[in-house]
Amino acid sequence: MDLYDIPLQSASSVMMSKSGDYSRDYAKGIGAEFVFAKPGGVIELFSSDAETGALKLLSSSKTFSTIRSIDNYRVQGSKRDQIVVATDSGSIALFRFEGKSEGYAMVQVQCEVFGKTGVRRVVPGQYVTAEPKGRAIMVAAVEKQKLVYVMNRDSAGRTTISSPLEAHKSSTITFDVKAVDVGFDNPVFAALELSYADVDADGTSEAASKATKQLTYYELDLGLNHVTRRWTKTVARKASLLAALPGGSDGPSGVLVCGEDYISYHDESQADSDISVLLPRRTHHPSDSPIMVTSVAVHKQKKNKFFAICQTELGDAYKISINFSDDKVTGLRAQLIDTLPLAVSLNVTKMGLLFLAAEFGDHILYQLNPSIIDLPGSIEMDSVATAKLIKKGDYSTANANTHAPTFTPSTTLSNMRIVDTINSIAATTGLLVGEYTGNEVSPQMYTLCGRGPRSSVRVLRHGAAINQLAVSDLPGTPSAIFSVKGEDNDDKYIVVSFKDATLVLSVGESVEEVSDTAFVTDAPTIACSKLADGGMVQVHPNGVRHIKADGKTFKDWQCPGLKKIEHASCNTNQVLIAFESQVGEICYFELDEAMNLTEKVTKDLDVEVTCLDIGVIPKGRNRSMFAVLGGVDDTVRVLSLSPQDYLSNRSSAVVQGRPSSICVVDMANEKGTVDKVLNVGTANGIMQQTTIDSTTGALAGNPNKRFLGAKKVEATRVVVDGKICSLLLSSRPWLSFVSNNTGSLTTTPLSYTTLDHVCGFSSEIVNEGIIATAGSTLHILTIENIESVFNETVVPLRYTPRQTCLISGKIAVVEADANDSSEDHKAATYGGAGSKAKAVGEDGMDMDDSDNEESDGGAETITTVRGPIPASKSSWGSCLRLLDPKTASTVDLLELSDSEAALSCCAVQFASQLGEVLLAVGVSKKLEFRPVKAEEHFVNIYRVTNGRLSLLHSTKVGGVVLSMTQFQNKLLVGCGGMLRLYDVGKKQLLRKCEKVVSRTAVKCVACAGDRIYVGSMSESVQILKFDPGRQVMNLVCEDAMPRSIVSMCVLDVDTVCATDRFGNVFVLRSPKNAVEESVVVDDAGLWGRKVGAQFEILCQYHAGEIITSVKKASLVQGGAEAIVYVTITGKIGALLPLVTKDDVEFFNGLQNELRKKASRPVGRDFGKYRGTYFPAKKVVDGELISLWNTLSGDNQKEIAEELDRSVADISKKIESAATKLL
Amino acid sequence: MSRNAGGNLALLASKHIGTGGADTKSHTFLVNQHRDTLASIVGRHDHVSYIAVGEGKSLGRVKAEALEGMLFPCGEEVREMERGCGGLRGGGEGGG
Repeated sequence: MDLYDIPLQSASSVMMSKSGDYSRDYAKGIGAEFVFAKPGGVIELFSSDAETGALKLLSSSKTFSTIRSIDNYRVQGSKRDQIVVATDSGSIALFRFEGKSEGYAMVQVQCEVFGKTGVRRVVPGQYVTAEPKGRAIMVAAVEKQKLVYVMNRDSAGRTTISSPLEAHKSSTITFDVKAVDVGFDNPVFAALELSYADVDADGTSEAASKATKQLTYYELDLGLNHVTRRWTKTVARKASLLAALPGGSDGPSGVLVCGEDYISYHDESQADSDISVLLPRRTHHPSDSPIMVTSVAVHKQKKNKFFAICQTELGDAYKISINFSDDKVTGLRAQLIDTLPLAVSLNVTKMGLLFLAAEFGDHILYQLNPSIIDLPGSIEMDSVATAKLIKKGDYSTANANTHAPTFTPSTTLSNMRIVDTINSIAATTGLLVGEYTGNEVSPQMYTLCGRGPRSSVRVLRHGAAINQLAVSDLPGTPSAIFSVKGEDNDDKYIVVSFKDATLVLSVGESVEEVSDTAFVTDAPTIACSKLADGGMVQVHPNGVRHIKADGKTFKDWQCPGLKKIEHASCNTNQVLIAFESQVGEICYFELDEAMNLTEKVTKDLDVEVTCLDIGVIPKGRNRSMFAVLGGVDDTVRVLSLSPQDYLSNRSSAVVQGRPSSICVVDMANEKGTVDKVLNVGTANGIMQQTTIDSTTGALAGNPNKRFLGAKKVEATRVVVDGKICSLLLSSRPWLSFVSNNTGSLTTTPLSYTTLDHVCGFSSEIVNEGIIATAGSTLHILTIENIESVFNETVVPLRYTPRQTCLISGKIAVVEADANDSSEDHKAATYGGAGSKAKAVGEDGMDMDDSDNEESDGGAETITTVRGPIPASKSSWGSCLRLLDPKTASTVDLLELSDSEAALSCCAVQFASQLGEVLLAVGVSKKLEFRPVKAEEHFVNIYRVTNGRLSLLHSTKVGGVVLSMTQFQNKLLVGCGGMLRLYDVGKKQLLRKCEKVVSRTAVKCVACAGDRIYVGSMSESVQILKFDPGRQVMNLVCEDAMPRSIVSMCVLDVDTVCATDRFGNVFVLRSPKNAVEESVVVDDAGLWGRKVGAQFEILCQYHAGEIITSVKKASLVQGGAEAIVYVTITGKIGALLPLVTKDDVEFFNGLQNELRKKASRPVGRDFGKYRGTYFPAKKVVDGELISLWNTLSGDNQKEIAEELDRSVADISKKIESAATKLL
Repeated sequence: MSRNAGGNLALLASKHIGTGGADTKSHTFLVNQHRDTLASIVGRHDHVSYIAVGEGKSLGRVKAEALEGMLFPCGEEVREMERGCGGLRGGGEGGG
């Protein structure tokens, strides 16, 4: 089996973000700029619009490595920032962003190798920090190694990098490294270190408890060119984060050391002073639970004016102001700003924008209010008070709890406002694919997203989203619709044609019917347009009406004899009509200099015309040069419209099916020129695209074909995002456009009902809209986010979703949050403080909460606040939820008691229950981690009646239940390391048989026929066979590798696809002879290994991120079936089986060539990255294949020659593999 | 490497932490293994996320706890080493 890994959407979580001046293209309206490092090795450049603040993606690059850290780096004397990236490639790379005609590109400046590849504890790369003056960079490992690179510029202005200087210290764990701002003195780097030398030597826990954390300054002596440990100071034991303060002439220098409950200031110049500030605490926070600071950002306003913003693990953001005089810090002050979602990175820009790269869920850009300067009325604490309250520097959590001022977190923002958000589906814990709404064509993807109060189920549909602005009823079913522009470029009229009448609507502040126009209203309209003379033209079956500029007078051209016009196309200067005739009689009109529409030429095509289009007039010309006609002989013809050879044949091509609609669109391509793209829609639902040569009219060969739906295709020109696109209607609407990301022609479906007719529309209110008819309704719509692969519908949840399953047409979701408590408990203990904070958009589930909100004067919840955190470590908040996929809303919600956590669910039909489908839920009571223990584990059985859940009974089981499945009308439960088969009884489940399959825990179970597939946390996958006679499960096949399974799906009876905790995905097949061996001797062999058949590894691949769910599914109706996966960080991809030998050879050949020719951004070998843990096998890297488009023309040609194909052929093959899937 | 055999081998062993020898005790081996594992987890954002979701902790805390865990990962050495140390065993259990 050969698979092709197609990335559908890159990871949406950000692991680190930076802000700076990367492109400095302020003229293009670029305000603040942000760089994101994303899991899966993606680096993205975003800009915030200078006026609106809206975030826009400028560039996205794949590095084919695991990114571990990035930092800004500014070359001495330069005004632009570059980025320095540390990955698992054993090298550091420097990049700059360059604006090009087709967009921005990330360009490698330097790549310097220093060590082994991989994420290893002594290989530097975990931390990277650049000196603010751009003189040096430090790269540090988790343990021991630290390298310093001295940066310089050569005479040509290029950045040069020295050989590394070592600053190693063995047996030392590094927590954070930051460059200290020391102005133009020798560069200094601060590191937060913990030495285990004494602990290892002593070996007692007493020594471990006595270990101290050190803040160390490393100085790079530029004169002597070496690094020394300059200064060391013991800091708070739990410190984990550093922030450098401005130095030199801008501030006092030094670092803020952030740990638990306190933040302190340290610097060599003030080595003896003790300046620490206690952070205000939340009311109801448990007294023994420390609060850790998890992110910090320093905002430099101007000279000597700066402050830091830090955020704790609860989400509360504090402003840390630093008082100083004569470069000596005298005090710190912590003031509460607001409560925000948890961040991995905070970035503050000069304009006062705060970007919050969220751990999980949507990333948010805030604008700080001016109130940030003094934060009136906010809860605060300063270092002087801290020193008074807490004697002798005893900075313990107990003291913090006694002395800290308290506050109740607010769900609204008082010191900032949201400017824009970036959608993120991270952390994605599950996936369900299928058409569950009952009325859509293509399947939806239901993803379990987010964590805690920001959790949601997001329904993803392929394609762009349509925003419905208005819908109104029409008196009948229209046969066509047109919009006619007025003097300014806005539409003046909407012309709706019916079977035997025409309705004219005028566009103003509202759309209203008008009857005093010169349009023919007692006949249908075939074509209609504004004319260059300011008038309009209307083609109806009996003739052509030229309405003059005054809108009242008109001139008619009558059809000769009994002829009737059947098809027509017009633009501002030209009209082409085709009569209802077997011989294909067509007639061409042009607007002459006297502004009269005059008949120029008629012609018989000798074939009945089925559709035609003359296109729009290119800028600077006065006529469109070509007309394209489709005939009943399944051929499209390009005719010339130039005065020398009116209607002479230029070229023709046979299409697959009867052409039903033709549309020529001038699309700007990535080279900045315009392609004439011919879209031909056929009666059998196929769309074919090809280009027309704009001088000769020749059609390019090899059209792109795509099946759009069961209805005949209608193609129209529309404008979306300032681009001319073609809108194609079949059983669902599609949009074809040149993508900014790939630069190639992309066809994407639109998530909307079936439309019959459509035309572009623009007015004062709706700039780029479309008007469409569906049945007898008129819709005014806009198309949004055409570049995004999926559009989302969000259903908010209460706790982190753990698992989902389909039950009787509804979707069941089990949610559970560790370190949380139930709504009831919160209401009882804290007087509803907690539940109020949680009520966010919970679709009116909690009536009292909505009352509360009203009495608050309609204060809207902006930030969902977690908590209050319960005192007990074994407390959980958990609930079961039933969702209706049709309405994407919650039907029922059942909250579990405080200490219970629902971790798994499964729909099951027992033989004795007369076909009733029950919901089984795996629940753990008082579950704790490190070490994992729980009071008891249960399987609860719920009955679903009329969309309501009711508990039937609860059965104690021996271990944690992470997965269940229905097996031969019984319930197969993985409890701990045991596999048990249960039947239902009146009061509880009845155990039928059991087998120990794992030393740790069973993570997933599945079944097919009499076979059982088990994935466990340490024993990889096993296949068991159930022997009904003896009521035992026998091992059939197992894996030689001790993999740690996360998710699994059965591909066929012998084949399983599974993923592990290290980001690998693999396909395993049991050997043929294993099938017969139904009974395997279960005793140990000579070396303790069981004797049994072992899996054959068919495919193996490192996806780069932990895959949390794999499903076998096809994503579009009639599309190819593939293995669809989601990762914890929100990447969606699919492994498409390559079925023909030709495809296998082609993609492997192309992959090999690309591995040689494509440049490695961070020096990581493509093949080695995919083989990080196991050698990659039989999976073609789709991300690598996508680099094909970025290669230079020469490289493409070389590869094409090597593969014995043409460049266009290769591009098309790549494209067609992707369209097979979506 | 064969060229460097002899004296340089000791140097190499000291340079590459965790290189075992004939007299490496199982406790030392386990301590090294746990430190390697923890460092690998800290270096991978997806792995940290996975644990954070499972345990309901912030990413910052998961990272800091893993780094702190490197100090004394397996507790005191016991004569009969039993399986299972402090570590992160089964850490991501609840995650998805």
